[in-house]
Amino acid sequence: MSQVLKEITILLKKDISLEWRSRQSLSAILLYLFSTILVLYYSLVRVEKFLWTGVFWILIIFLSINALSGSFSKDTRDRHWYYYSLAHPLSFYFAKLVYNFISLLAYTMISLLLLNVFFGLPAIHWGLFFITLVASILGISAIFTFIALLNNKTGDQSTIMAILSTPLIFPILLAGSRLVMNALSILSETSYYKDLISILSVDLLAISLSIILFPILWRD
Amino acid sequence: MILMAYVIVMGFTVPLGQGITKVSPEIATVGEKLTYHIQGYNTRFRNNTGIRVWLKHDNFLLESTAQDFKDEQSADVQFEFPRFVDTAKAYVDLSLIMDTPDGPVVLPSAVSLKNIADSSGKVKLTWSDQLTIHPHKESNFNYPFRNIFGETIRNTYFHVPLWFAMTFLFMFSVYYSIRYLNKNNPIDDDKVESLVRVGTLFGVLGTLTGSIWARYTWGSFWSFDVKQNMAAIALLIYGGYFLLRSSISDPDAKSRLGNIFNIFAFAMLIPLIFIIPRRFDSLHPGNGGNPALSTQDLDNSMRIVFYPAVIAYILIGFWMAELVYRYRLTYNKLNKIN
Repeated sequence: MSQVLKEITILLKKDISLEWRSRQSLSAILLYLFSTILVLYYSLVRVEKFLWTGVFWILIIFLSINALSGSFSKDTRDRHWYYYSLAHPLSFYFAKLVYNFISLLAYTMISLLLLNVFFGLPAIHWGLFFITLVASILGISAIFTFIALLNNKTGDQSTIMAILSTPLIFPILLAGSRLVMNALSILSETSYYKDLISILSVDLLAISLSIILFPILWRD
Repeated sequence: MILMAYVIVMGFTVPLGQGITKVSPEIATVGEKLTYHIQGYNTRFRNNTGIRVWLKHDNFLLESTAQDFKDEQSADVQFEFPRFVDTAKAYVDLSLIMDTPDGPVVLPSAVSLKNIADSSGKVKLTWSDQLTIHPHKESNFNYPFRNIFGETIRNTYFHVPLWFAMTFLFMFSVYYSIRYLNKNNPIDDDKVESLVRVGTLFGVLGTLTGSIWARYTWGSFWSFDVKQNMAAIALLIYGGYFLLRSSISDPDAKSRLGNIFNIFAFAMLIPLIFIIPRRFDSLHPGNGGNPALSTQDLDNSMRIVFYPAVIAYILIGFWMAELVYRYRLTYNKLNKIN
């Protein structure tokens, strides 16, 4: 167990340092976020409370497609084989999952910051909002990590990534948008925990399926 | 095949039971004497003796005072409303009940009665609750008449079983996917592909029959109901499966990745179709407090056709999948693939 944890931390460090050295995806994401929010600023002028949920989730969807679709293409195929000989597939999977989760969470925070600068944030129940955010980003990164590897095996076509993954994250988006509406007090439901449970169960389902299927896919 | 023929013949030929489509005027005031025009459907008013008409609210009945049958489908019925109604409500919903030798007919909330409270503040009961209905037994084999459905109630035999069959086909495709990943037998992959192909076809047909039904009952082909949207997304996921397969040229990698995605997609389909829609208000029965598969939706005359229909669609789905599979096998043999 400690061996696996050690492998995960080393692989995680590798991913972070690889990203930090080039800062390629970070700058790409920042550029994407800045341009999108600028377009939104000039076309919407003012984002109402009702629009805010939609704007926020659309930002997150395209953010995650942009940020995570290339998560396996930084390393070449030969290096994948090298990693395969070094570490257990699952530790590789969890390192990728944690890395994607952290980076997506960070990018979401940056986009929240930018939204705040340009539009100002509406009154939010921050506790519920952050729990929703963490749960749905965990699910999104789990699904996207898996599909990104699948996509990597097909030879990195960016359209395939979007087509395969967007319908799969729909349950999370639906429940998540309801929860965000609750957090914005657009909806006032007392049973919002049911939505949270359904997001968490989707997360669990995605992660456990990946645990089963990732090693088979990784072997290729 | 026999089952399918049975379903089609029974589904289209058995007539609908009698029903009332319209009662006008729809509003009445207490103490009034009004003549109502009743529009029936599949009814036989003429040459029928012993037709009685009531208006009903809770336990109270009001029988008509005069009846005049113009033809088989239309009748003029006169009611004398009592001065007071024993309720605090401003409007009372009355159901129209009609007893004919062919069986009873009910139109719920046919008339709303405007209630004016007694000037003395006391509410008097002048309804007669002495009358009881002794309806005739239903004499013919009919499907029930439901006001919003009309003849489209027959779609129950086509729309609902298609989804049942689709779920079964996808389930078996996952079974063969797992078997392929375990044993690496290319035959299993062919089975998966043909099952998914037929399943997707059934999904498309289910959506089409559903949207035709929605046109007649809900008013438009696509009402952005949660289940409609989720079904569309499910079809998108399986569209992704075919796209994924077609984008890979290496046959071995194609079947591996396709099967892995198939398992993942089916597992993700479960929350999409069965869990998430329950949290939303839906027009479909079974959601948002609407009943599904209960006595209200399916009566015995429909069960006789509905259950064979489900079995027939599942069997025909597997039969079609086997045809596709055998075609692929022969194609591969002829072209010396594998």
